[in-house]
Formats: sequence, structure tokens, C-alpha cells
Amino acid sequence: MATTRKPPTLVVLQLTGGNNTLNTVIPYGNPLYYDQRPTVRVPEEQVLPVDDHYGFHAGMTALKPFWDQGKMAIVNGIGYPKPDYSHFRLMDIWYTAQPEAMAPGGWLGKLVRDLDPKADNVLTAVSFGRGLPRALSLAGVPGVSPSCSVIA
Amino acid sequence: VLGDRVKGGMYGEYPSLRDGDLTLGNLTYTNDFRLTDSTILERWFDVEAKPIVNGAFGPLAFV
Repeated sequence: MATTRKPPTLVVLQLTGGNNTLNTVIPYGNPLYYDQRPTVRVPEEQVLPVDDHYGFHAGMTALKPFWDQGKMAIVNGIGYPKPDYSHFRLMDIWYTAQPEAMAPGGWLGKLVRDLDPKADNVLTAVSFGRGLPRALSLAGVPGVSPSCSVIA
Repeated sequence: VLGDRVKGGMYGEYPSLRDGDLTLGNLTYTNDFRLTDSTILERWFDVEAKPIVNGAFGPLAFV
């Protein structure tokens, strides 16, 4: 909970691009997985099991210790109502948390506005990468993206 | 979601792989992504999620 000694910190890793859910958290205990993925399935012997039903892709070796220590939560089956199957629109919806209409700002930008309503601290949120992510952009909210410039 | 204060485990229902459960050949989602956003906003930052995610989505228990 947020009633702690120091202010909560959130690090968002935005891996933009396609991710194959079924080959990331692999339902290796489900025979349908092998039936539905005749060519791109991961063989059972290559899976890093987390229980009798699911396992990680072998490329997730570095993440497995977090799971083993109980410090990793996996949220399965995320989506939103009435998808239109446009990847461009889908990404926009992820960033703005607004499936019903085009929204002017991102959900993290709105979080920053709530945390620092007067924009006193230009470093409330810092982004590393190319430009300022849509999720963090909101008019009137400072966002720092060191690889380019300060956007206010 | 990774962190010392994260309650590890599986959350949300894994999508069904049965043909009859697919949507236009795609996996059918089981929980709105804004449930995850709301959990972070409310349980980690203690801010009101509803105006940010445009709806009420009961939090998950991962923090």
C-alpha cells in the first residue's frame, strides 16, 4: 500500500512490438496448446516449468528467480472490449486507457498530474528512450526524456 | 509485475485454447487491462483510478 516510509516508485518497461503470449507463459500442460500450435509450439523439454500447467520460455531464465522468490506476478488474459484488430488503435488504447474514444493524454501522464498537480517537480516522471511515450504525455504535465529534451 | 512488495503468482484467468472459445481465431481476453492499471494506481500510488482509466475496475491482489 502507499502508506509507506518513502514515496512509491514505478518502473514501466515498455517493450513495443509483438509478444507471443502462448510462447512466453507456456500452457505446456494443456494438450490443446500442442494441437493449436503445430509449427511454432515450444517443446515441453525446453519449458522452464513454474507448476504442472504453465512454464516460462527458456529466454526467461533471468526472470525465473523472481518467480521462485514470490516477487513476480503474472496477469493472464488481458484485453479490452470490442477490439477492432488494428494494432495502431490497440497501442493507443493501451497508452490512454480509453477504449471508447480517442483520448488526448496517457494514463501515466494523468498519474503524474495527480501526484504533482502543480508540476513543482519536473522529475516526477523520467523516460529513457526515443521521445516521450504516449502513455506519459499529457498537456501541462512535465515529462523528462533525457535522450531528447525536456517537454513541458 | 516484479518487485519486493509484489505478491507473486498468477492473476487473471488464462485464455481458453478451445476452438469454440476463440474470437475470430484469436484468444478471448478474460480481464480488462485497466484492472492492472487500476491496481497500480490505487494500491501502489493511492490515487483514484476511475478518472484515469475511465471506469471502475476492481483491483487485483498483486500489491
